[in-house]
Amino acid sequence: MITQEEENKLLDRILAGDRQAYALLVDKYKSFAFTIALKVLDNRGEAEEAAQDAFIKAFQYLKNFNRQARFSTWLYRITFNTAISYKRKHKPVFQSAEKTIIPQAGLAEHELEQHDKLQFVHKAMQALNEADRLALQLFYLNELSLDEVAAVTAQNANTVKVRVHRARQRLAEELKRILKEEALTL
Amino acid sequence: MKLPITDEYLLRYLNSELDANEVAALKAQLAEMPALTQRLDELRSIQTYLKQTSILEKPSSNFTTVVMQGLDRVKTQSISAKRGLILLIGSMVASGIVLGLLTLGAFDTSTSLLIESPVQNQLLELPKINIPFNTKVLINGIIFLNLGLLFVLLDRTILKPLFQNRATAG
Repeated sequence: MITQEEENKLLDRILAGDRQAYALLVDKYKSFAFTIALKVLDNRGEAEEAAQDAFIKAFQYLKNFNRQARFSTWLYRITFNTAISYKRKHKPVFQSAEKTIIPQAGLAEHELEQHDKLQFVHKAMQALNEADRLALQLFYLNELSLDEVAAVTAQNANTVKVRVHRARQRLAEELKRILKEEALTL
Repeated sequence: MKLPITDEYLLRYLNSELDANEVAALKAQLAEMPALTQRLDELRSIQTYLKQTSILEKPSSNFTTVVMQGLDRVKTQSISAKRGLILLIGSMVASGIVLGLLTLGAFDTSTSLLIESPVQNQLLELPKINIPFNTKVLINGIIFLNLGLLFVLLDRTILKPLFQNRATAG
């Protein structure tokens, strides 16, 4: 675990020409950056490429980083922007609802029930608009506060708050609708 | 008295944001209203799903190596910002001058291109080819190409760096 002070020292070393110090920052933030890119792109290969690209851009523009925000927030913003650019450049890859669902084999009855519920929520999630879904997913990534989600997505904190609130409401409504449909088909 | 319980209120309960009195009141209402309990279950499923799908994903093991190798990638910008700006201004001035001359009618003459055979032949008289062409059309073509060049220069020297800096502004 690197403290803020140690991180600042690392940044000073990198700016002074010590490239290997950058590897420590990459190791620290790679999972989170990759996860953000994956939430946007929904494709592991592209997400990895976008996240790597974001780290390279961050290195190239490190002298522009004014340290008013945390390095992580700045990096995640670059990652988010890079992933959005990738998404615009590449055709969207169709992802079936089953792709992210845990296989059912070997699950106990209560686990199966829980599994079914999760599948319905996943289905409901697909009905949300992309911006709301992303705001919600980023908010639920443990490390990000509403203010940080706002900084990463370059939106106003109140806008993000409204988005998260609205997305949860819609998700609940959508789930209600899906469950009603399921009950009718039984 | 029963409180009108909203989804937001239930979400606050699931997030442990209610105080002890509010929790007690809500639990009393849940015991009396099966529909409310069902709604709470649905919302709990949403929270569970969001928490389950919000785990950090791990990239491949060579992620850091690829990034460190990428740092050596040479910037592929062929024109420096300063040179690009000079070229941009130069092209704009040249286009301006030519457009001015065009407006004044300096190219309103029609010329013809005469092609003669370099080999003189006494026995066979080769035809002379005379191709008329309008200078104005030629100048218009050059201006059109120049405008294309101006657009590329504008993109490379001003627009691209501007948006890149905006995206990485700290």
